[in-house]
Amino acid sequence: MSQSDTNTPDVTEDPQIQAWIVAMFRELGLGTPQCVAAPEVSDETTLEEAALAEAREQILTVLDGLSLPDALPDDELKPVQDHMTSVRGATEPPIDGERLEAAAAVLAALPGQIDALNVTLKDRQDRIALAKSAAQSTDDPEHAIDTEKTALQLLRDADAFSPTGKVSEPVTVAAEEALKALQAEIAKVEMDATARESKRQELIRRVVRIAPPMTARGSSVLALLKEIGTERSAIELAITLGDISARETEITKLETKVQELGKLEAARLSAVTALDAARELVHSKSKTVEVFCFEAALEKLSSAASSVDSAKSEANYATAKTAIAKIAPFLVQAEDYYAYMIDWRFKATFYIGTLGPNSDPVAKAQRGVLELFRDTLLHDAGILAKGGNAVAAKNKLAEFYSTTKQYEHPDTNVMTDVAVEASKNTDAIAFAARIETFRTDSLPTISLANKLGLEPQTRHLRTAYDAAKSKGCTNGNFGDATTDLDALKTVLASDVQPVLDKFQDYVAAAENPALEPQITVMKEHLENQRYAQALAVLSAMDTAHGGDLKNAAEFEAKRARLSNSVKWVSDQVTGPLKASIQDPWTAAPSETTHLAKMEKLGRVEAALPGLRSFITARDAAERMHTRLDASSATDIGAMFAVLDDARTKAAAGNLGPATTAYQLALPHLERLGAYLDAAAKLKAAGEALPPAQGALKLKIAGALTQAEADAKSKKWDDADAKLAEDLKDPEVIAQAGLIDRFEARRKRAEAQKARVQKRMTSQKAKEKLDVPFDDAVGKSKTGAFIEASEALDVLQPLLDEAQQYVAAAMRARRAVAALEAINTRLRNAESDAAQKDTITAAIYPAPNDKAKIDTDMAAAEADATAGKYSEATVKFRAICANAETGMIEAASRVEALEHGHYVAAHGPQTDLDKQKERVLTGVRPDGKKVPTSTASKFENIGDLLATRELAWEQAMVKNTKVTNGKTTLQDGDVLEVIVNTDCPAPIGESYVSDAPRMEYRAGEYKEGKTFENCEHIPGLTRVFTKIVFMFDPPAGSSRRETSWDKVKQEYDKHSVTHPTDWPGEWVVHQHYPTPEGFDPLTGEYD
Amino acid sequence: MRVSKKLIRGYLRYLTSIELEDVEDPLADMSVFHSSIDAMAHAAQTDGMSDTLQLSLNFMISNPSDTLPDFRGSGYPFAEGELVAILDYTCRRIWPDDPVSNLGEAMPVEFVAEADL
Repeated sequence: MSQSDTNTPDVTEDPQIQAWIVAMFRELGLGTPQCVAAPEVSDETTLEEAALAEAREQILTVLDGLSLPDALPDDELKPVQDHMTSVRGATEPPIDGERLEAAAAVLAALPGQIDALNVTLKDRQDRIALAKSAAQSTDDPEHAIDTEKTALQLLRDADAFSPTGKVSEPVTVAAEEALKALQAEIAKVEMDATARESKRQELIRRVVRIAPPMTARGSSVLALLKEIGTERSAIELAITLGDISARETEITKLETKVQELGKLEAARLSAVTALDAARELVHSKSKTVEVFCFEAALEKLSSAASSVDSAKSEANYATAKTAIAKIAPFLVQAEDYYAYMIDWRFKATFYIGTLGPNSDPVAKAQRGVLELFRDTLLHDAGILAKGGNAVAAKNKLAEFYSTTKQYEHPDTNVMTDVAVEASKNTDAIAFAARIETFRTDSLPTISLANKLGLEPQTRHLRTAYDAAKSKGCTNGNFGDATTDLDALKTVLASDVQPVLDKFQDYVAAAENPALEPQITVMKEHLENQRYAQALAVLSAMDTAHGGDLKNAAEFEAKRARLSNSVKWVSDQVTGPLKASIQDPWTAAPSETTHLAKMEKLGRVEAALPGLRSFITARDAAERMHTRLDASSATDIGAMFAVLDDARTKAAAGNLGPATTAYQLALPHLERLGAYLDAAAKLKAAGEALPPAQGALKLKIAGALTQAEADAKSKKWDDADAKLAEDLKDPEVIAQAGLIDRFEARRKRAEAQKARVQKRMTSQKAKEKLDVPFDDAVGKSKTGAFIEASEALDVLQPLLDEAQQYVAAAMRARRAVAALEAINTRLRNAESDAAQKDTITAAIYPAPNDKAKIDTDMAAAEADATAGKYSEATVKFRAICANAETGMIEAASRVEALEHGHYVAAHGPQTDLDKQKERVLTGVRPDGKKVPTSTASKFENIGDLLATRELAWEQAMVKNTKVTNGKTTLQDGDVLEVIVNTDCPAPIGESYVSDAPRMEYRAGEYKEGKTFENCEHIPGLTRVFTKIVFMFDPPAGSSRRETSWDKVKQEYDKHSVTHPTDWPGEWVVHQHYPTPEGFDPLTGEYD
Repeated sequence: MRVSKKLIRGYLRYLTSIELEDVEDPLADMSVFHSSIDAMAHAAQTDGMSDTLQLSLNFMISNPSDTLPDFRGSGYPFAEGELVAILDYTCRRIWPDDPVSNLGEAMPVEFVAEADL
């Protein structure tokens, strides 16, 4: 620094410096420096004192110029301060040169000591600043929670980093320690957060893996899914490790719940499967077990089904299964009993028959007592069978062979024993067997004669058979009867059958006038048992016509027989394959000889089976291919080329190889389908895995690529194996389960949404449903399936609400339209003007007149347009309810007009139990016995009338002759029209029959017209309506017929000439909700 | 050949929806079916489905156990044999010149849902 830059005076002008310099000069023996003016002294002493004073001043001056670092603690400053004090003490009078000299020496050391103190202070201050800076620059660990962050911030803000007192070594160390404490705490927080997040992830994985059994009841699964979702949220929101760990108990509970549900579901499925198998078994035995046993089996089945339905625990299901398991053995016993009973009844009846004719009083008495005994045993056995004891029932029947019964002798009136020994009567049993053989071997010849229209000419054969049978069965004359049967058998085989065989060729030409005389003669011979002559006539016909007529008939018959098949096959194939059948078929009629014609037809006939097999194989393979292609995201034809070989061969007309290729392709397509399913499942699960599962996602992607390569080479096992490994991964299983459940719900919701939106008119209202649905789908695409399910939870009530609205709106609109249509119809049917108004007033009772209904409808529509479904629903329902009074009035008036019974039989006022009773007993709710296999009722009178009107409109479109009011038809016009009306919401319910009740009629068990059981089918949405033409009765009659045959008979009966235009009117004959083609599981019709 | 189950059910309903009061033999008077048979034939003819109906009825007659349970209808509970007899009668009435298939001889028809056509 230059002097000019400062204000520091020249040192030589500073008195202190001057004094100091003087002292130094003297000390060094150099006298007084020139730059310093010598003090004025009077003598030697004065000079000495002046020098001391000057030195003193200099010492003090220097001493005063020294400053200590006050920030250091006093104890550390004290040694220097002591030195300074001692120096200052030496300057106190009396002034001593030596003391001053010693003080000067001490003073000279002081700056170094002070410098050392300054260094110490700076070092400490630097250390504290460093610690503070380090503390301030630390970050909170990732995932640190608020309390931890607060604690860390407190440590960062520690006083140690900003000391206010002396900067001692302990204070400095305290700052450094504070930094260490902060770092230690950060490390601890990091460790805690890692442990916490690790635990959180562990528990989330556990939650995600909790998969309720898919087949369990929807409500249970949904409740569990909600719990799982809630639990997952709780884990994600939990703050502390303790909070997270606390969820473990809940997860364990959930896992246990799912396990229990799984066990319960497994038990239920097992029981249901067993029940289904038992049900199928029971129904398959309906014709092979005795009716009472069948009833008992149904009862067991019903009881088991009730047990399954009401089961609430595994033990309950096990008990139900035990009951189900007893059904199959029972059926075996029942079948055994039935077979035994049939045989027993035949033998018993046969034996009783052999006792003699009723003209013999003894035989009659014996027969009477034994027939009673037989029937009693049959009755008792039936009771045992109905009670489920088939073995006891069989034993009961067996008593017939071991019991002696008493009969009253007609001459002596003495009670006499008659032993029943049917089983010991070998002649009788042998004859019975002979009849059975005859039935199998010879009776078909008699049946063939009947089929060929020769029953009158061969009736004697049947008579001969009956006589032989009677001779044995009734008279016990087994020897003669057997001889007669054998003779008849010979005649049938040797004489009759050849005639029939030959005649078959002429059946097609039998009405040809040219042949009629010969055929008449042949029939006469046949009737008079001149079989050889009959055969000769037929042979002569061949000769007389050179076989031409027969040949022509044979050709035409065969062509007619083949025509449908040829047409169908030709429609199914193209190219060379089509030509292979069409060419000979077209050419056959043009051939000049019968042989050539038949040869062509023969080629067609021979080609048909192969073509049918080809079509069957091709259709099966192509159908499966199309289905797979439709459900796959890729073009499977291009990618896997499973059918290329078969298609090439088919196009080339190589029938056999093409058929084989298609047949061989089928298993490949099945494997391809399985592969596509598995790959799609794995792909979806892989995409849905969270990013944290990156390694697994990569592994899945690799497996999919490799599996696809294998699949393209048709190495299905290899492809399956590659997919299977990852599909077994618990994460994948968990994701796949979530996806499956979500997809199932999404599909249901989508279908319901589509149904509802289809019937909405307001775009705004439609969009209200799209938003949550799209939200759910969007979430699913990001793999957040639990969140996506929750979005569906939001959608579902909206959908239900909207569905109710569209149903209510449609119902109200139809009801109102129907009411008005019926009003018009009834007014038109009434000629009196005053009566017309009375009708309208009855149908629209105040205050709900037509104007009021219109206003209400408009208000309801406005709500719907604003998206207020519930409000609109309420209003539409109110409109329907208000209209009901008028509807009931209208319905009764219309039904009376039409002579119908659909309101009485299927109206909403009918009791549901009465519908069930109708199926079970055949008795209709109106009391008439009219058995049907189903019985339905409307839920609402508005629906009944509205659908009736819609049906009427459809009928008029289908058949233009259908009109309101009186009209006429011409002879031969159609008299019936059937229409189905589909409704947007359920309008009725039904009972549908199960197995028919077996009845013993005319000597055999057969299906009856009533039923053992029936199933309740709610939710029907289709209405069946049959509209028929009801003829006006002819003069003198009151019968209103609905068929041409009957009406003509009625006209003839009353001698009324048939008109050209037949008067009458169309009326609704049947009108009810139909369960035909309805699937209760999907709620849709096929 | 694949035929819509719904279509055939619609035609057969003319017969299977018939309600008869309790009778000993529902086939005793076949003339009660005439109006329904004629209406069915007319409906099929109008739809251009007469051939399909004929093939289907023949197949049902030829394979009753496999086919009829799906078409029993909601009216009178005809037994299988009764229904076969009615269908046979129906074919002869509608197509008097065509033979009716014997058991197991008809051209194969597969009744499927409309979606599977």
